[in-house]
Amino acid sequence: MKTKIDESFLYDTIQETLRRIPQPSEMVMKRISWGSCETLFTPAYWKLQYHLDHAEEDFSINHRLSDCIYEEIVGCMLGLYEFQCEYRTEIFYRITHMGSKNWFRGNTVLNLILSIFPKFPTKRMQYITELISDKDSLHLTIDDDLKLRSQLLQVNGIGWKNASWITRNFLDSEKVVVLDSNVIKACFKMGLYEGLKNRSSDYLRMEETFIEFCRILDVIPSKMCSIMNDHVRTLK
Amino acid sequence: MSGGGGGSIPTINRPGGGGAEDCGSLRIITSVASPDSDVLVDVSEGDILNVRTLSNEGPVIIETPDGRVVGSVLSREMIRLISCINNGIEFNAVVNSISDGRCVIEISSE
Repeated sequence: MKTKIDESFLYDTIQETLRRIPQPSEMVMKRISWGSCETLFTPAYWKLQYHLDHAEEDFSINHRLSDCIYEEIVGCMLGLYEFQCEYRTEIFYRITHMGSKNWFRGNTVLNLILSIFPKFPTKRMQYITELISDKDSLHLTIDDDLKLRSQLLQVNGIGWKNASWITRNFLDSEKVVVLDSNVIKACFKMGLYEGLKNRSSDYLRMEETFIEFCRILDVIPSKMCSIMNDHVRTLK
Repeated sequence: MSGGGGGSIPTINRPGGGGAEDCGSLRIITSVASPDSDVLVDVSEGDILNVRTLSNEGPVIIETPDGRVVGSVLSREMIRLISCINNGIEFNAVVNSISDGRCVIEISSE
């Protein structure tokens, strides 16, 4: 059965956005032109898609999983793995509903994970174990985006992307950017990351450049990331 | 027990977002972008127009059967449309209405 997608209501939004997008040959940033919004993955394309997404829905996304930062961290660590969706949902639901008193007792969480997914990666298990046992010594600052991310980076098993992801989720932060592979691919394609190597060595520079790009386009970084991820993933 | 926020499983980006749909079921109603008025004058409601891309990254253009370009497609579904066309799926566009220089079409797979 065909699903009808009616975008006729977007006509005015498209016209208005087109008026605000400079000519394709004009520069959006150094050595990067706006390009045509009819061509995939140009700056003009992203700006148009952002406004089209904005046109209909409120576009507010509640990223936070839990009011407990440790649940948030574990949730994100689980979300990283190539689980089948139903496993992740099952595991996370049971973790967040078992009660924090039980959650941090012994191997409760880990036994739960193994009962649902016996092949849970050993190394990742180790990271979660360490997090649970060391949580009282972490002293996480949960009212300062960049401080929280710096602290999270000291936790084994949490790299730049994860730390940014947790911070973005928990504090609804726009000072950090979750640079997953699809977003990075989109940025390289535009020429935004010319001269940069990869996420491991250049995360802060990539993030800074992305935030500046979003400022120029007048779009919110987390939402732009979401759109980029969706679109790049679709074309794969 | 800690209270919930969104309560859904963590994903990198928009919860529940993404998810490819079968190309055959894709049906989009949209307006032709930047229509050529000289070509549009020969287009009528009910006409079937061709949909094709100029490259595997777009643009998506709408043409009359004799190859004249009516305009292009600007849509939230551009990425899916281009992806499907790149995978060999053919689409056409039926003209729903033409009014004040605005041409509304319905794109679907052949």
